[in-house]
Amino acid sequence: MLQKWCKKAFPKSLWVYHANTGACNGCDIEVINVLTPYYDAERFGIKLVGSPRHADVLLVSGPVTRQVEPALRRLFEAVPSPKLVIAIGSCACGGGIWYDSYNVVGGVDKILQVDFYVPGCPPRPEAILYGVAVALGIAPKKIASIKLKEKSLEECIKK
Amino acid sequence: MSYAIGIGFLNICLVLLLSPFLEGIIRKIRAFIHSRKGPPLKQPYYDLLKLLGKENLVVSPNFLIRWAPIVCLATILIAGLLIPMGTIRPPLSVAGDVIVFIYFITLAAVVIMMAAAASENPYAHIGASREMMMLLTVEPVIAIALITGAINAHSFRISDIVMWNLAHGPTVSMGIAGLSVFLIVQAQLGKLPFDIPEADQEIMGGVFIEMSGPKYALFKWAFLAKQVIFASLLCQVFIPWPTTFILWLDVLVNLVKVLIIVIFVCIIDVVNPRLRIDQAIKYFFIIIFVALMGLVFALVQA
Repeated sequence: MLQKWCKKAFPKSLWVYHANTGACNGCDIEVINVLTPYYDAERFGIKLVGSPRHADVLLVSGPVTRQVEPALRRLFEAVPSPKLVIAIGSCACGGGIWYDSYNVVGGVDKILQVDFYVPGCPPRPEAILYGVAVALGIAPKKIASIKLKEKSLEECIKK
Repeated sequence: MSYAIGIGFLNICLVLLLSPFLEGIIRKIRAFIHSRKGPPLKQPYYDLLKLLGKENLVVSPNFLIRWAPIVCLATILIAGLLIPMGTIRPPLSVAGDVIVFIYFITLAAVVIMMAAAASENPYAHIGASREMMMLLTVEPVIAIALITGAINAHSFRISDIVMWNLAHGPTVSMGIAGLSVFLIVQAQLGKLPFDIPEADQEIMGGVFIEMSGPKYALFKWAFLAKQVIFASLLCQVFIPWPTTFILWLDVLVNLVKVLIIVIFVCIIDVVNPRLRIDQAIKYFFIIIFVALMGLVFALVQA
């Protein structure tokens, strides 16, 4: 029963660790903006923590450079599961304008399993809050998930 | 005997189950001062439950890290049984008096320090050394204040001190002792001018930096429980005045007084910046002298 309660409590108190993997600081400023009294992310139980050991959510901003890649892997291992990864900004989502740069590995999804993407350069604080709200299950998704189904052989022959 | 067990059960409930709710009120007040909405009152319960349900990472083979959180919470619970919360006699008064209480409160801090020193993190080591400096200057104040009461009452039993205080009314020595304890409560609870060992923005959680999941939950819970214990110590031993000797009314009065003290602590926490460790230690030395003055008053009157 206790485990059930723990699972229920998880989306109600997400502690965030913010990792900059080579961003230009634009996304970082917007992330800090979300925590100001104006946007007040604490009302959803979201808190910025200083240690990955306390974190539930890894906010990653910036394209993953070659230098930071092993550090990011180790950071992901330092977070106790269950954990979420949210990519903030265009660069973290897919490399952005540095997608083919010689010193950039690519988006965060090349290294870690990303759960949620918040695109934008930089994403507005509202967009980040919306992304987190989708993650918490408070807000519905704007884009419906598309399912591709393979047709069976009989259906193809009929046509 | 069954009466003592009942009171003990009440104390444990207050210390364990009510303390997160108090924290929720504190967070609401802090949000109000920042002019924002703030998390719901149940938020600390969610935090604790979530932390308890997380993976327990093994950061070091040292057994201290595994056992420290459990020992810390256990010592805090025993300390909670040694303090009256609405009654004159604390439920575990057969087993110990003021000195045992001081031992257990100190042990909780020592255990935190040892766990931090056992983890291999430089920030945790900085936190541990700061915790030790705080411990060496903060604990004497509580010891001196309680011994002032013991000299007045000619007994080390907490119930005797409370009875003496009730019989003699407000005295100068107990007033000074109460004041010095009030000034030290902020440091004992790890609130802002003195949250130097944790220092979230500075050394990233300091002593707790390597504690993940359930370990961190137990430490956090111990800190929340400390709030109730120290507020109860202050308002039952040093200012026990509206005492009616009716159990449920006394418990209620104690709760209201605890709430008032916790709100005071919260407001001081919100409007103050963090001190450096040397500034804090200078401040504690002044408080030690104030507490010693109370001791002198108690000796002169006796």
